[in-house]
Amino acid sequence: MNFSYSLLFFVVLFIGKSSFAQQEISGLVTDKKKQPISGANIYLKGTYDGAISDENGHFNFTSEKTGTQTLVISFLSFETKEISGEINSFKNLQIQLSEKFDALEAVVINAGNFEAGTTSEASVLKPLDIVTTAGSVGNIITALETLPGTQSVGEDGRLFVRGGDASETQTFVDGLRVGQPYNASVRNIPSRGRFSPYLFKGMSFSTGGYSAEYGNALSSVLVMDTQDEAEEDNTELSFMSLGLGIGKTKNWEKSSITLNASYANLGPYQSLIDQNITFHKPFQSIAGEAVFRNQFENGLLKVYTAYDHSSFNVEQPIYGSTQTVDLKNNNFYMNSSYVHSLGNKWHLFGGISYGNSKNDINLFAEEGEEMIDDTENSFHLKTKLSKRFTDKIKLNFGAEYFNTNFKQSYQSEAIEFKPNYTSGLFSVFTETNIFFSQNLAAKVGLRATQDALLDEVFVSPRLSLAYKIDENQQISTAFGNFRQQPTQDYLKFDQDLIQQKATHYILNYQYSKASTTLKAEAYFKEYRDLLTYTGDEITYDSNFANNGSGYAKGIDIFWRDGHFKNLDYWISYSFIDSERKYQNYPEQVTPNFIANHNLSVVSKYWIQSLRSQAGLTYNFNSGRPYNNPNSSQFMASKSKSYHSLNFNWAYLLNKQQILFVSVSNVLGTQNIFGYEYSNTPNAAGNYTARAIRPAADRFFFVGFFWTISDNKNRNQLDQL
Amino acid sequence: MKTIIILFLLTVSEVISAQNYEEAMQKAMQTWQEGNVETASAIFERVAAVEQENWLPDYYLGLVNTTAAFSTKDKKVLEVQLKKAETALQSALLKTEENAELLVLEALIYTVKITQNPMVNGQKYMPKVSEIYAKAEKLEPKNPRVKFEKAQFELGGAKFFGSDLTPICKEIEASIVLFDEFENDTPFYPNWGKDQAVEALKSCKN
Repeated sequence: MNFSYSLLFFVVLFIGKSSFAQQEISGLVTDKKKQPISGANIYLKGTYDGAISDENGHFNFTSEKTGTQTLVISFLSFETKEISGEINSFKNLQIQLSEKFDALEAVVINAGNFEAGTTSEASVLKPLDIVTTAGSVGNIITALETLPGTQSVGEDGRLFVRGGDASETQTFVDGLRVGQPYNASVRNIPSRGRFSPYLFKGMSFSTGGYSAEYGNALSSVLVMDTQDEAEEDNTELSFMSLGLGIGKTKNWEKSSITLNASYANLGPYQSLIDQNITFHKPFQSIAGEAVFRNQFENGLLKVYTAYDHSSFNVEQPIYGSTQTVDLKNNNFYMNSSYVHSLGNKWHLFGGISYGNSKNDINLFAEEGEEMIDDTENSFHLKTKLSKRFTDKIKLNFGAEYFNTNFKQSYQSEAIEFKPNYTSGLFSVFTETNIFFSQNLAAKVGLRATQDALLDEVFVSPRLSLAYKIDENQQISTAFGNFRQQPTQDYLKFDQDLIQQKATHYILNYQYSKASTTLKAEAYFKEYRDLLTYTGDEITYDSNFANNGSGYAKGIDIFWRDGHFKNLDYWISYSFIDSERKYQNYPEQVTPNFIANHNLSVVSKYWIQSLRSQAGLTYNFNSGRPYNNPNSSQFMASKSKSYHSLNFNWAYLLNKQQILFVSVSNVLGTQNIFGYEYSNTPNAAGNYTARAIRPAADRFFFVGFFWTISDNKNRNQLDQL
Repeated sequence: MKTIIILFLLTVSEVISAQNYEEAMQKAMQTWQEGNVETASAIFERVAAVEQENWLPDYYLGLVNTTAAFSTKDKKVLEVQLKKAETALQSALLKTEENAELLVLEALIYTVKITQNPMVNGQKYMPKVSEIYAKAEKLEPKNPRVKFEKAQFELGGAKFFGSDLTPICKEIEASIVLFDEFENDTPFYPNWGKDQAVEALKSCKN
């Protein structure tokens, strides 16, 4: 026993002794450009022995280990390096680390694209910005009109992008098309976006050159993604000068449901504030929506349904006389999508959307009564597979089917007809994103479509490239062919037409540093096969053809800066030169929705002492063309320029109650969008003019929002 | 005989390794206390790389970087610290079940983000942080750090809205009692926060 003890003692001593043999390990850590890296962690694998490199990249430490060891050199955004060898050879090492590929730091393909996202550095707008922009009053479209590349057309209210008219933009929610993204309206009364911004976690607004995943849009796509999960259980009440709203959210372990209902009536408001337009019955709407989300083990299901009924009755001057328009609209929309992770970085998306819109319009004029009833049913079915092969290569491919059925019944004392059509568009698409390096990336896409109604098959290529010049600057380009079916105004009378075409060329420069972003984009766009018709307006006996063409070119500039404490602002400026021959234009001219210069300045200021956010937005556009039949030249007159200064104030009474006040066109500038003329000349031989003006010069909004929830930290500030 | 020797050797080497772990952790803690965040972080990182079953080195790696990030002005350094903290938290969660200490760390990481950019991150992460504390409280209702950090977080919001601070101060007071009662035998188990709570209570009463 004694012997064994002394043996053990000896062994222990031996172990202890050997550990006193210290080895020095030293070296220098640099990047590929021989610049020293400080703060790298250098250690022997499986031990605690190590050091960090100093500001010159040097390191040294000692270890009691012997024999073959592995030295690990790790530093955050660099690939970890391991060196194996005899420990006594780890002296004066020269270690070069190569940069890790980091998708967040890499170049971004963003020509033509504006993101309003949550995490992406490429996003120029945060979701909150949409709702806190003065003048928007919760309308997504108005907020988007403060971005360059858009035209604000006050009498229409819809999105006009880079020389394209309102029909050239398609709206998608969770990848699925929205048939009727705007509220129903009649001429010269602006429509609003149908969706409330609260629903979405992010938006991507493309002013051109967009992905092959999206089609049937000549100019632009607006892609909005709904929230993946509800925040928490609560009840939200809104009391507004225009109506009332109630919302309820309930969460379970894996699922959640949100229900909203609202009622709007402009009557009380219009009786207080003088209107330029006479409403016999005010705008009224009753709407309900439901959102259901369910998280599965490897998937996420989202179902959104909405229904609304709206109506109004308005007296409008038209062609020198007046007519009364009575409109009733019923709209149902359902959108359901499912994303499943198949493992091995494969993702499957499947979705369906269905829209049903019914309009019941009655026109009463001196010449008699007209009754127009129309029904549109639109389906969109889509499936998509995506696979990330490495950090650098991603592939998307899929197929989709659009089905639209349109029926109209037109009745007047003189005539009755019932135009209708059913259109089916089947498309397949594929797109690859490749990062050649951290600084160079490409996106190559192809889209093939079969149009059953117009009996056409075609392929549209899309291509984007981006190059990062340095840490703060990058350039990108995009090219693509885009097609779109003629709108229902044409298709209901004539199906012997072909798809309209546009080609986009875009060059983009972006500078971003900390909270400053400068984005400048030049583009050229060519239109072919635009729709034309004969006669004063579209009727069943017009002659239709694809004889139109045109171009748009311009520069868009966006600047946003967050350097000032509590102040946030952005400036957009667009210059556009665009002409087209389409509709019943006798020649190629600049159309009436184009203003050559557009400027928006948006600012938001947080006043801590008042617990308030104040916002000011200024919009300017130069005059737009209109046609004066008293002049021999077509579309040669120009309206005066447009100015509007908008103001809003959000005051947090306490954590759960917010008071919100907004005034559009504070200065009361008398804006004129253009002129309409009588159909026939008067006794003096002149056509008499009528100015097209907003319904009221100023618009006031007051709202009180109240959130009742278990969690006292939440309020509706994000809902304003 | 041989078995005994081998067994003994094993025990000895285990003792040595345990000593090494303790020494390394001790050294890291000391370095941290001396204010050398970068070195402390590097030591915790090395220990975490060796300790495949022990979440504590990862926890401290995350905590060192998170607490440092609260006062970091340089945006680049801040990004590095946040990234280290987030990676460490994820690594810790691979080694153990979710626990209150790790939830507090997660909440603190989000709080850094909120304080660094309140305009953008405030509305995004405020509900998230509340949710995390609620979860932690459910998991370990007696954990003093949960109680204190939760109250501390609510204090900011209450000051902002000018509402009554009394109930929050009471929570901080209650956390001090929990700090005194808190016990865990695991070496290096989180045991910080009492000093801050005492300080916070002082300023709370003013």
